[in-house]
Amino acid sequence: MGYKAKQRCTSFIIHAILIIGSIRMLLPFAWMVMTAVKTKSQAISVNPFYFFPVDG
Amino acid sequence: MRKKTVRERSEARWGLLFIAPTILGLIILNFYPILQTVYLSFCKTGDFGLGNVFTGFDNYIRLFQDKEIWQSLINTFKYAAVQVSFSIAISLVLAVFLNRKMKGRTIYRIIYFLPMVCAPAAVAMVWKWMFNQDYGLLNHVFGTHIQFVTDARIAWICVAVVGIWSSIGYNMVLLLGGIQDIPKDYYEATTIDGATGIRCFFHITIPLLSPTLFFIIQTGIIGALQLFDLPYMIMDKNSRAFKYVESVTYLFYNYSFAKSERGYGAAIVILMLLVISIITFILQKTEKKWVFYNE
Repeated sequence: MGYKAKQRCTSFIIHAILIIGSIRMLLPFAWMVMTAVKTKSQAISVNPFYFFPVDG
Repeated sequence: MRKKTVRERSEARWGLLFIAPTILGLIILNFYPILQTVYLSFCKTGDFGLGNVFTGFDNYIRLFQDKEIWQSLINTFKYAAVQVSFSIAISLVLAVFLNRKMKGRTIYRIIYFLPMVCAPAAVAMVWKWMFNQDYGLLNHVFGTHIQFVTDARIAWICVAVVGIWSSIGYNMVLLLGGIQDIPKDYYEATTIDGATGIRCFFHITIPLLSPTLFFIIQTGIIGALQLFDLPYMIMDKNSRAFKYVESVTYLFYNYSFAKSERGYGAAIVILMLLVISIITFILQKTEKKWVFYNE
């Protein structure tokens, strides 16, 4: 492996680790935003991926 | 002792005058309450919650026989050990990664620092929701039905995870500052001698970072031992698991304000003060062994 390719490989691995870490860090905030646009019954419904309530 | 000249005496007088506001504030707001707490720990709250009756060492005798206190001390130590070690390890790796020149460095730094900006109690509420057994996000994503906060064996780990999550950003920023203080010459010299990235990390970054690491470890341990808001917000107070997660500070709160036994609460706080002082003392003794100051 050449120097350039090796550099790119390292940088890719570091980015991958950082992105996975970022997702873990941002998860609660995403959850906060998601819950903010829900009614109470939707917020405690079994499917947490209920994004935008249709009936307001 | 040599007699002071007029000028020196005048300087000393002005110096005292300038620090007087701070000293007065410390005495009135910090030292007086500490002495008051020590006195209170020898007292029992009077009938109908009025006045304090001096009872000598009764509170302390009760303290050493109270199983709940020892359990909560164990809980707090477990939490502190896990939270401080993991948080420092993760933030050290992050700081090294985010110190190199790369795309999106600022965005990563912002993301990892974000939890520090939020109110801890509000964040703990969100985590409580995510850990929920029936409609929580984590159980939904992984398709499991784990009792995250009601099972005594894993509840304290969940609390520690939230603690790690919220302290990474602060530690990372401090470590980044420390790394940027290390002169580039050392790295250049080792690269010429043929050292790779990992050897550089262990033989240059960590020794030269040890003052910052020492500071973070010390403040981290003290902060973790004073844990209060996370278990208080995340856990259900009536759950069976709460006994194995509650912290010493929570017990203090419970006795002083909920049960209105101020004397016993004060005794708990004094115990905590002693424990933290002993740990700090031991840490300070070990400082000379592994902390290198770059003179």
